Amino acid sequence: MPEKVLDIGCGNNKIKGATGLDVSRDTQADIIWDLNVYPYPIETNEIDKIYAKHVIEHVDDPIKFLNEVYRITRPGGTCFVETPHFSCYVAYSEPQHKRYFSYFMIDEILKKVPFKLDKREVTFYKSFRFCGIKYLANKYPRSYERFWTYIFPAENVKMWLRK
Amino acid sequence: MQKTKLVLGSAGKKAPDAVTLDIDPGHAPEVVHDLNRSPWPFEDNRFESIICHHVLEHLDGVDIPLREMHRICRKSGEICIEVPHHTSWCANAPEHKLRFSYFALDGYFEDGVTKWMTTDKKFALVERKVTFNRAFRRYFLHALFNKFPLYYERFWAYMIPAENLVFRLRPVK
Repeated sequence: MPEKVLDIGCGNNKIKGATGLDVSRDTQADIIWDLNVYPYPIETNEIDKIYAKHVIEHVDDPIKFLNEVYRITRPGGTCFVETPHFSCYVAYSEPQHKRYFSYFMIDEILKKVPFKLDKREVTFYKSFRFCGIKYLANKYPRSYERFWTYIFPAENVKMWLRK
Repeated sequence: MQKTKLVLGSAGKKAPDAVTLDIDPGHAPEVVHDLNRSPWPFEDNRFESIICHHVLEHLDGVDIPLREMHRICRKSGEICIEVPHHTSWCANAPEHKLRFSYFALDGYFEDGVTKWMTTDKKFALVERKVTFNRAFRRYFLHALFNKFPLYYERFWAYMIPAENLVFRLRPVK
């Protein structure tokens, strides 16, 4: 049986082979749905792989959102979440954003969501990647966010979750 | 004669040549209205000039105010929006709900680069600038950073914090 992939907030660059979900009709979405309305029109334990890129900062309640994503993920399935880091200008370039994420905010969220965190990382612009800042920031994230984040602003926070 | 200038969120400021609007009747504005509520109590194409200084960051979102300003502003008119930059020391005041970067309103411009937001109410950008404290203006950093805004936002914004963002817009009708 082919893998079921869901791209939440797909916009106009939907992941190949995925089912798209978006709030706007001007997108490649297959399901038009407002993510602040629960439950989502997808069955429990249905999806193998979920992509939620640049979505979690738009929803009213990220904990409720991730719990709902947990419900539709099948056991053993994965969910990839990407969101702008709070030091990135992109976080402030979209007035619809409700909150700005740090490396550690997922820890607090996962106290109330049963997902397991496989891996996470903070990413950088090309000119910073050259200097090995990405390696250091991900090795010492606490020091990075405390002392260096405004001197070397990050780009995104990526999180890989597993049910 | 009907006044063709509108000052939103006028607070205590007196503007005898303009219609003043505020949410707080204590400031004695001409019109009391909550800007989050659509429609605003003005007819279409009423104003030649709309001043919206340090108002947008107090609202729940920018969609309703920009739609309404598009409606009540004349084709030849101009809208002046000023908001604190997200690195400004004023940006995190407790009554502020939104933060803005140089590219925050891109989705509303005719040639805006934002891909993920779509709106049918577009504006022509007359001028956009980020302003700085005198301590930085002394070294002409404002001229430099306004020339290269993307580099400013990416690399310098937190080291050389800005003060305000100024957008001057004309509705496209």
